[in-house]
Amino acid sequence: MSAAVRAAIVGVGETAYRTHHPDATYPELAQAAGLAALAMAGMTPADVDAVVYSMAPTHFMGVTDAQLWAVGPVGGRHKPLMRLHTGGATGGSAAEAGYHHAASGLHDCVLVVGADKVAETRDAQFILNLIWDPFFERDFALNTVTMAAIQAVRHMEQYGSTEEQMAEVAVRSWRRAKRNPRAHLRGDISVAQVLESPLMSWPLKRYDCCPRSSGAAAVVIASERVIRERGLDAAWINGAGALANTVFMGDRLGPRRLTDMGDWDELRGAAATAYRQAGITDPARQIDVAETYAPFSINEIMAVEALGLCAAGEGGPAIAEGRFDEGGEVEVNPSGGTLCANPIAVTGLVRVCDAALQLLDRAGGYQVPGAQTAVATAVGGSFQFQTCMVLGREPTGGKS
Amino acid sequence: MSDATTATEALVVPEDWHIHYEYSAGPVVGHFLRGLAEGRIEGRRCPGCQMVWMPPRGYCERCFVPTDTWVPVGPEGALEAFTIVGQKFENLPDPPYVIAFCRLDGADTALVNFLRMPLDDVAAAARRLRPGTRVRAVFEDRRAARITDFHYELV
Repeated sequence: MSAAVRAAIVGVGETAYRTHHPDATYPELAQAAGLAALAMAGMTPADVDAVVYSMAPTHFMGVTDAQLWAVGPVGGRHKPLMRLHTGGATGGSAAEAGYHHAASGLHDCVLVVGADKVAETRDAQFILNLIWDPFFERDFALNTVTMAAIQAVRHMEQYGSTEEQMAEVAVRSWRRAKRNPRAHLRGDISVAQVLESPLMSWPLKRYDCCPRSSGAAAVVIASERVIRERGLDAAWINGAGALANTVFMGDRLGPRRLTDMGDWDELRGAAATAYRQAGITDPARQIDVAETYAPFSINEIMAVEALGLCAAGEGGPAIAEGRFDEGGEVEVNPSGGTLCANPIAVTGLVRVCDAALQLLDRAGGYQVPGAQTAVATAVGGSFQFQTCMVLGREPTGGKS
Repeated sequence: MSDATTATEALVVPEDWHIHYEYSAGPVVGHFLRGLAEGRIEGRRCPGCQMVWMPPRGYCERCFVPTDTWVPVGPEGALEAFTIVGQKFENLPDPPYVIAFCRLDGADTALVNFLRMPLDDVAAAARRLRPGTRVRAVFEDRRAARITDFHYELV
């Protein structure tokens, strides 16, 4: 399938990410990001044809179906508005839906916007436990930390990945985030500090884990017609793929498994679709920047493997050797990534924002010079939803 | 984690939720849970691909046909994946504890439960556990037709 019309990101808006935003109510936060994205595109809410609202579980911020509250503030009144929710992958799915709106030719200008306040309640991990069914799985303290730890155990067993390699991911993320004024966490930490930080869920330590963040993000996606008419700078969406899998992690274990908990096969599938649309045949050579949704250090190792930036099992050593550092063939998470800010409902959208900013030359201190092609991913549920979007400085897919 | 905005005079409105639910189990899940109360663990087999699904499902998610047979599984099995929790999460158990996905003998997929073992030394406990490590499902004396009617122990 190819797009009916080409579409691109022409505006990006974000707030800072931090534990609390006492300065704004939930919809005010979403509004700030939406207006900022429209301002970058030289637009106002009146230019928007449709809104895609990015909102994951609402029990963190405590208003059931919070998109209802946000309709007015984000400029959704008297327009088609849908909320997307695929857990952590929500922001990736919302961007994908916004792209489909524009690429279908049915909407010229789409605002994709959302916000989260993950720390409005004291323990997000209890709420995350509630995503599991009440009969079989909820009783066993499954949450994002413990399920990532279970993946790490599998990856270590299968490929020999080490706690030190995971620590290298955290050290690099925190260092890169120093250049990103919106990052929640940043600084110079050492491998030893990561290894000595308190055990969360073996083998993951505190610094292997993302923070609970609040903040908002938005993009404006426009059709090629609008972009040419208005002479807008554009980060073209050249491919978008997504893949869902069963919620049961136990189905992804054992000899008859179709995918393995220790691999991000779901991302591999989503990327295959996006790469095919975008004409990516050699990802490590053709992609300049990857913004991966990696809320735990092990996940960045799994992501670079699933994106084909290195072979399966090579992610840990490749990251530790600096292959994805500044100046490398592909720079991974120049923003500091999800490990340094995780406003869950929009984290996937933040990845899209950071990828687009690179292609618009607006990434500031973490700009990758001359980046031509960027990829943004998102993961959600029991690591069961993955999305992958390929963006380029030039359009490569669809009809002109 | 760290809070960058502790020095704020912002007004905060507190609220607590308490909501009671009664989840309908339906015939397949109901049969399974009643079996647990009687000390039996049973999976559901697909007449097409012969997969024995655990947790049991009324239809095969790969063949899209109804499953048609209850198959006793376990009580022994193999560990597939695990973690040892070292952090207290609000409303979740006190650490340390082991969350284990085990494939009971006769089943094709793995079922999660707690694995009870000595945890004085977490690193040492983690070294003892590998995919393939043998485990046994052990029933509680008092059962309530819930998944917590049993737990895993090392064989």
